[in-house]
Amino acid sequence: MRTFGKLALSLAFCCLPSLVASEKVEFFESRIRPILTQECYECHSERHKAKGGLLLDSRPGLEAGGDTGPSIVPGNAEESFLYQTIMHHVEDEDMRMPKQGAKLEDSVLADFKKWIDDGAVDPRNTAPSDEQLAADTDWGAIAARRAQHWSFLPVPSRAVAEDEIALTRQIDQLIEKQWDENAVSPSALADRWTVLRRLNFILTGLPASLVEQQQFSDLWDKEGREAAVASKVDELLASPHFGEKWAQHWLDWYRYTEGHGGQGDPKNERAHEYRDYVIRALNDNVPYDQLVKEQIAGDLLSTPRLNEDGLINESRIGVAQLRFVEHGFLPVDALDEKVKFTDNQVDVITKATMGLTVSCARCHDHKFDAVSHADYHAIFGVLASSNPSHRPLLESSQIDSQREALEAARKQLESELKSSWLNEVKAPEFRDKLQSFVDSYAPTWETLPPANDYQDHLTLGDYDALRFLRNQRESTDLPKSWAHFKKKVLSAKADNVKANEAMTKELIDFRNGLPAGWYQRDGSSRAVPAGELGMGVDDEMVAMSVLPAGLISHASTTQEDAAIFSPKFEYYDGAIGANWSGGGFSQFRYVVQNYPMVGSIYRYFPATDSGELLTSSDKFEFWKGEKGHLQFNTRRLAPAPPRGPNRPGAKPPRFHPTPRENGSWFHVSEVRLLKEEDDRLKPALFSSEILFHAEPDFTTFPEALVFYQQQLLRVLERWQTDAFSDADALFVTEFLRANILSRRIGEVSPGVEGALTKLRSVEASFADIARRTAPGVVDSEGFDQALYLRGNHKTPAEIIPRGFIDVIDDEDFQLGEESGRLQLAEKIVSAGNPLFDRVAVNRFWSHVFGEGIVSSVDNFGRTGKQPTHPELLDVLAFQFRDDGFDIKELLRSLLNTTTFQRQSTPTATAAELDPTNRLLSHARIRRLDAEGVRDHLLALGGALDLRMFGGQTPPPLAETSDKRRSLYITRMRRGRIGLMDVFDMPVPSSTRGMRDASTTPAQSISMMNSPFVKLQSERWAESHSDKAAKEAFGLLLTKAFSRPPSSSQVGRLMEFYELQGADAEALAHTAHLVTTMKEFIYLR
Amino acid sequence: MKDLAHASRPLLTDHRPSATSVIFVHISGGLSQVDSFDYKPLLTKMAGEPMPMPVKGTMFDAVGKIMPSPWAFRPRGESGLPVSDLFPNIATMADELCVIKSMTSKASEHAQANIFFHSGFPFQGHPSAGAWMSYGLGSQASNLPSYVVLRSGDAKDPIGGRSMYSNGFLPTAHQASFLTIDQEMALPNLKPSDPSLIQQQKISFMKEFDQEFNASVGTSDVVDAAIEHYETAFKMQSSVPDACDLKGETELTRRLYGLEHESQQTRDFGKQCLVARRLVERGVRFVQLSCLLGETKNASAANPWDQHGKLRTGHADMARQVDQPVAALLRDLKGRGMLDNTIVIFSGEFGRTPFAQGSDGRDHDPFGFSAWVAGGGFKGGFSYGETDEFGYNTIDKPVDIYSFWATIQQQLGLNHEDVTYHFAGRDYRLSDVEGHVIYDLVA
Repeated sequence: MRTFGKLALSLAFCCLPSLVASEKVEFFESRIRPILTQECYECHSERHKAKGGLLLDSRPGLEAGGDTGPSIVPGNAEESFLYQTIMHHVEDEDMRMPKQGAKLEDSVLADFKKWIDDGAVDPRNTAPSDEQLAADTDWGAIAARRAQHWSFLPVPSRAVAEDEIALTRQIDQLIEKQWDENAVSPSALADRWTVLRRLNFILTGLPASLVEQQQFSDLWDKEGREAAVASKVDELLASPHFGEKWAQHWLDWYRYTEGHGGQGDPKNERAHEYRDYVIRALNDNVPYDQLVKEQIAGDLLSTPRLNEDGLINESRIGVAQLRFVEHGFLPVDALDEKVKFTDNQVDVITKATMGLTVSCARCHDHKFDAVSHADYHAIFGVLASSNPSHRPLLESSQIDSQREALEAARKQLESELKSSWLNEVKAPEFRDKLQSFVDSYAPTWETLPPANDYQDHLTLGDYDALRFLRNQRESTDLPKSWAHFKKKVLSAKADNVKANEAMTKELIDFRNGLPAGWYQRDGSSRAVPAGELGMGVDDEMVAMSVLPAGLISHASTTQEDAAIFSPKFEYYDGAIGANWSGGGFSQFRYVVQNYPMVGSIYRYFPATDSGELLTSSDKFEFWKGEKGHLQFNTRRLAPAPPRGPNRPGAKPPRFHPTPRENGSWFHVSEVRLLKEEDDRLKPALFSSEILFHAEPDFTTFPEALVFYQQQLLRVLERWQTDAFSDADALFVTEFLRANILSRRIGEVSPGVEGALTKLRSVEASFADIARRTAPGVVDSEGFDQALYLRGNHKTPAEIIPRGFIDVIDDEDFQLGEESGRLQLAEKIVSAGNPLFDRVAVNRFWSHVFGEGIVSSVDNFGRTGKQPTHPELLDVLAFQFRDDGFDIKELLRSLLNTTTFQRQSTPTATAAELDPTNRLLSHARIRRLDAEGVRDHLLALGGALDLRMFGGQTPPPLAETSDKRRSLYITRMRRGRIGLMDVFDMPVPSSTRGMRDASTTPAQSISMMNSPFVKLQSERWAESHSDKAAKEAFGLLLTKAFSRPPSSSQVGRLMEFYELQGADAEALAHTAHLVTTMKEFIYLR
Repeated sequence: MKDLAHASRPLLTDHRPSATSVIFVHISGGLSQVDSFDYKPLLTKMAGEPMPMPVKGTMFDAVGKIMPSPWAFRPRGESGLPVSDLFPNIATMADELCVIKSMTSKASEHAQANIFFHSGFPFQGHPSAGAWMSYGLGSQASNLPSYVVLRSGDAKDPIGGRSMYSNGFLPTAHQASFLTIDQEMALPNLKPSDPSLIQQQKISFMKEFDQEFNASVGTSDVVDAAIEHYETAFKMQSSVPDACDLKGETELTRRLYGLEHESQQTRDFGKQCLVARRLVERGVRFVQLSCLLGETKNASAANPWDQHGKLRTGHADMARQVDQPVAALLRDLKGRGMLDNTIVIFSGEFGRTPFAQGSDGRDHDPFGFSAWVAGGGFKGGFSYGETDEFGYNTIDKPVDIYSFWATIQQQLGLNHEDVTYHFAGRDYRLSDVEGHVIYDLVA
């Protein structure tokens, strides 16, 4: 479908001999004209604009030149202004062409030189025609040329280094080679303290303790620098804090955030599971390619990665990053919203993994790189083919292995309940209970939770069996009343059934299993006949109901979360209805364009936790023309927390799991799409129905009670057989809800309690993990995206098959129903994608050396920077893949280089010839990042709490009281903490490979006056009050600067201390003084 | 004295500026155009009737009938510019106002609309207009930030949060500083935690250590700057309170700005207007004012103009808060000759529907709303663009936010196409790809 295939990129670009006239024209036509058209006409042609007065779309224009004079000196490229601008040999950055710093490929520049040197032959007498222009802007040719950009070319094969030591040596050699070539001499190796401080902060983000400093120094003396460093590197890589520090980088790459953004920045519940997963993965040294695959398709891997005890499916947590998108607040244009958040997914994935700004091709072909408008939509389609959801952490095989035991325990419970209830009904007291229910006017009945907080949940009300007893207990003619009741019920039923049929556009039946096209990615919902238990969800309720035939999520256990999804359909000016029920705030959602939140125009139905069977309806005509899907989910799998009620005043359901949590479940019999917006599904099943099978044999009220007792007995007996009906289930449920039949611990028989205890004990082996979910996505039915002209979702054009970027790999994904995320992940990490390997090693390099070999770490396209050491980059890339993407091994080989261990003071030659230190002849001065500054302050005060994982502290609290590492501060989009902001913690919106390291007065003000900073110095002073000041200051400097202090520095602190009065307060002032010193927050 | 915003970079101005500073009165929540600056007599004639044209979906899906304005419109000043009785004081300055009646926004909810209005993108991560101005113009203020957001009383972050004031990908030096002008500490951590002498001693010892450290690394510019910022920070501890201290203002000025007004809200907002003038006098480039919650509390503090119900009392209440102080600001600037080089902007993130929400409120209308600009070379007593006869959709000369800011930049001497920043593979600018200067707006 897409217009070109993989092109043979084999034009010869070098060694161009002089040409004869016709050949010169030919040369212009094949090599120069396309470049002018594709790169220059947008700003320099009659059709568009004439920036700087220059037209480049005809020879006269070219000859006339622009405001700065002639553009070409035929025969002399070096003297030609045009050539100087494209070579970037001009002072003014704005004159470096093409605009935005996108330098042309070297081969193209060589062509221009040759063309001008050969006389700048140009056959264009006039501006081009439309046809000529179309031919010259053919995407295939443009892409083929752009695919010659260095980062797209294969990483050349080479001999791999035998081991890390060999690689380390090779890195140093490649760096040294450039010193020699540029006559720059390197700085000397740094001292042990400098190296140790660097290693500690870079690998763990924490300062070395006094003991660690001493040990390192001893080892250095004993075994020499090389061995000491190697051993320290090994030690720090094995530290659990390694994962924390590098997770921080990883979280920046995938714009980790715990807020959905938009109005109120609602919390993305349990997003922190992703942060913890990254920490674990890095500590476990999971191969980089595996981790990247997990970011895109961790839920789809055929063999997912499990944690040590096999309970947690780690891989699946990776896709949480797809949910760190910003959401609008109840957007009225739902498709626009979907396009925006899917665009953010495309943007982050392609930047983080490949350093490509694919999102720039949202509205048109990429202006600089070999990424077409169609490529963008090919990837967009892949990502848009999933639904937002939550995913359980629990590995489902853990439940599978317990399934038999669970179901046996459930059967046992059911059978105990049946016999318990049979005994209850048979007992003479049963009629007393019935009588007292009737007498009491059943206040419990009246105060059952209101069913209709949300739209039109209907209760069955007037036609319920027990209602007859209540209403007619004063009746003087019971047979007549009964006849009337029967007539009323049966006619209501007939009317309702008829009305339902008439309003039904489509009936979706769940009684025989998941309907055609529906799918389930988590859980083991299955269809069951009437008679399954609607389980209780708190610690007291055993069962809240007996269910009619339908699909249930808790066939094994209510701890197994489940979600089922309908195929996508288009909303029309009608309504939806469902007969369903649930417990533990399970939900029935009708979702519009994958918007995950609810409120106002985005509505849903929560289960009511009372055991009632719900007939829920709502109109959806507001969304006419939009695509969406239906879903039922247990509470924990709700894609985002329910945020508010549909009606003012109604309380939103809880989301947080509570200690009393016994899971959540749903049951669904049928869903109907209704024809008109005002259609409301009517109840078509009444508990009283079953009473009419028997002839009434009562004339007095006590006899009526006997009649009910007999009927219930018969129903319970029928429960043992296949003849148990939906109405039977409803009938029993009614006695449960009226508390006539027992359903609570303490009321039911000991046998029931025993069976429940047994069931809970089987569940206990996984229940703790079962409570944990992470945001995620599930594959919906895959679809190919229509290309949006000019990026406008209101102008869809041709369908683009899901796929990858054609110039890298144009193989068809061959997709069936699946989204294609797995295929996309495989393409990204495949050996055929040189960007993947290069971008990866450059990211790790950049955090070791403070700057990438390619300094634009998130952009390897033409507007990015060139590598300072291309060969080195490729050596590392090649080796990384060969080593199975072993992150720790890569870091080890970088950190053991002498390049890493040099002083930061440049030599005279370096200062003169290489002021920006591209050649790495010395180390770069680096400021600690925001987390580093805060953690270091806490560490100095001795308050740092090093517990890992889990529990989060919201920002305002964290600033003053939280002592945990800054990584664990809840990272919302809004309401962040001041200290982190002033030290450049980025706002989570897109991939951020390198943070800013600004210096501002706001930082100084914070360090001077922030109560948090002062508190840490006071803490330090308090814990050192019993020491002699001189000794204390020695310790202070050692702790703050990770090195033994000079005696003169201690002396100066003493001087300051005495100046302040040499008291306890002065001690704290001195510590505060040290925290304001640059050495405290900079690595030398 | 070095300025705070990127001292080493030259200004990006490329022509003689008409103005040097901006004061932006943010009508957070959304000002109803048909009740203030966009006169639509048809609403009275058709009061209570359904809208005779298609109405786009609204967030609360409660589209009511056409609601006339409770306020009468009158021609004002020599120009005869119509302004409603909602703003009797601002109306007296009508000849200074350049009303744009055809503003449009791409977003219809507060968070996105606010971020969009400030940055041109509906999502966070992009620089706010104030940050762009700071980046383009640098600072001319000694020891004051170049981009300031004022707060007083109970004023809160608008919906969308502080990301609407973000420096985005621009250097951190251009982020907004939030001055809570009536607090002892106008900036976080501004209050000296030590007596001045101790602070100075600390700085002097710190410098000694720092210079030693800097020498040991071969003298880094970055470390140099970090050392110097301590001096600046030290001075800011007094320069910021000084700018916020209104004691030196005359009784007349105080009364003019509403500092003696019976309403606390008016007094609090008046202080912001007066401090804004003082900051502009001191060379601050971009000052943004924040409305407070109205006395009737007919919305929330984050979006106090957001009257989905009880518009009559709610808008009247809010107008009482800002009308006198804003008029005073215009008059005072003019009197001091500062209006020529100060641009005052008055706008919400969107407008409100001409039809009712429920019986007496108005929902959000991003399709055609009114903003006004005064001073800085903008035409006075002038109106531009048209909405339809209901004031619902723009029908003539639509002004998107890109062109709006491009024109402001133009008046500040900046060529909006050249004030760019390279980030993530492309050059970004405040006017994005769509904006152009609207020369009709300026004299």
